[in-house]
Amino acid sequence: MMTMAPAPFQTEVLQTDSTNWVMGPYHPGLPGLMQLKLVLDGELVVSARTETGFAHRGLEKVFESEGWTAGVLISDRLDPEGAIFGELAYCQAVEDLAGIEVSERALFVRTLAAELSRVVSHLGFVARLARTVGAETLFHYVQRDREKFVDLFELLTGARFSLNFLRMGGVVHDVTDGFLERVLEVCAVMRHRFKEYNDLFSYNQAFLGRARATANITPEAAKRVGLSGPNARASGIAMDTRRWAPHAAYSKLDFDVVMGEEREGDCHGRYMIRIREIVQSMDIIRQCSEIMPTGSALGLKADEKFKIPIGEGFSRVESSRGLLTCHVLSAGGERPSRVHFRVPSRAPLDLLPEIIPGCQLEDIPLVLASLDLNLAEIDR
Amino acid sequence: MANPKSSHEVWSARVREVFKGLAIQDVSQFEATGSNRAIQIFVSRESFSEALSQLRRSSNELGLSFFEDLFAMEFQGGLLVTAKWTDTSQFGRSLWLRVVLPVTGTGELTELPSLAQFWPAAIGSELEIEVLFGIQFLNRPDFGSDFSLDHDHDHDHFGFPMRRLGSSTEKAEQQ
Repeated sequence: MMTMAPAPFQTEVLQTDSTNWVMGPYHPGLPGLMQLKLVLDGELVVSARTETGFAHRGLEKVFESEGWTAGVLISDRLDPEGAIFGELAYCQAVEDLAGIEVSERALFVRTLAAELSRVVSHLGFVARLARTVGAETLFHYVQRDREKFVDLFELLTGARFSLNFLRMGGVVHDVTDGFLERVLEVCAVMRHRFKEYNDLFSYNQAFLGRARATANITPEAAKRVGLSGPNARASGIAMDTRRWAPHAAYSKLDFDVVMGEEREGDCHGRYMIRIREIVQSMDIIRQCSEIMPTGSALGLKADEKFKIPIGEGFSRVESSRGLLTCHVLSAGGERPSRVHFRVPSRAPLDLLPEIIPGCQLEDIPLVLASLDLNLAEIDR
Repeated sequence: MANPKSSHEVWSARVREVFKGLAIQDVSQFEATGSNRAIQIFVSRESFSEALSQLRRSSNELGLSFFEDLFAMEFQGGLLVTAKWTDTSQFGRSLWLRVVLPVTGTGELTELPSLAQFWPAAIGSELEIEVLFGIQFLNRPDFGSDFSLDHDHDHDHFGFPMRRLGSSTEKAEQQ
């Protein structure tokens, strides 16, 4: 019986064309409504374009039809996760324009609320990043801890989100008895959690393998696009608005700009800098509680009329995502003529076409999560 | 130790010198709380391009390495465009370059040279201002970012959403 000899093995070179891949505007791997237009060579990203504006809210326009105090509520919606920063930037700009004095105690209460917001925002970042790379356990642990800080907002303001807490010249409610003690208790528990986070995730080899040397941002690129906040500091740029243009009570507090050890501007560096900033924020919260001045922190009531002269007001705030500025224009009427915010999420978005090429397609959600983009403030 | 006030005055004088010879309409100090003060320079539309070139040449010397913001607003019947630079290592060293663009017609487009060709950080703001205020930035490089609004579902609006000048809303109010 004759047997057929097997055909000699031939290697074949596969020719592939680049493919166009459009992610979004609705996609679970994206931080919000946006579009990423990618050109891929297999799984490798060759080039990228971004598009925004799909859910533009006209938020700055809404200010023009509402009163000065109602603007606080609108500025809440700038960044729902860090509502206090929008409020702070807006109130400071209006106070600057109208010459409204803010009491010493109110400055400290505002600083306390801002740092609690920073912790909540950064913990949200850690949870999102963990889920993106499949670390489901850490996601649940972080959400558990984050809830405790959100509970503190409920104690302080009566709301968990959209706080509507600041008023011109102060805040709506002063801190109640036992609040500061409760804050310190939660912070003490939180300090123990970091060992858990680091053991589980921060130095996990699977995470390091994906996050290290991925989507690096050089200091030159960061400066070129105006990157600020933790993303810039992860790239080695020592810029923190709380230090170079102190607002609220930051000039009275002792803290350094957190730089971290990595300074490589990769996804892991951006994660680690936020972990360190949570620790620093809790230290600032402790200082605030220790030297909180006595007196009243209450601002003007919502229905209280006050005159805003013709002119412009301007303020800078270090939000959890970076430099947030507010510019208000008054024509002397009952409502602003123009309110404009410079938002920190815009710069990392503009960097995406530069840093995504060279990444694997599967790493794009990780890169986006590591930049902590907030589409709500971009499409404000 | 140097007197910070006099050091600021020296710096302010140097900024004014950089723009010497241009059609400057006004130079003033914007005083805000804390360290948020700035020198604001109003230039004519014709001098805006030259002012950008001058500033680009001198930005390192002046320490204005951080492009902070670019935005537009309605002002005295026209559109006021403000570009902001700041020195993030020195308190209160900021420069606002401002130009007023006359707008007369409904939905009329107006033009300015692009800032993003020198300061890529301006790209996002330029894209927004173009759609929302109708100011075209000439020679804008393509950095791979787009901004678009869904005009198909905005039936009530004609013109540019952030502008009151010549908008359909203003027309309806006048009627």
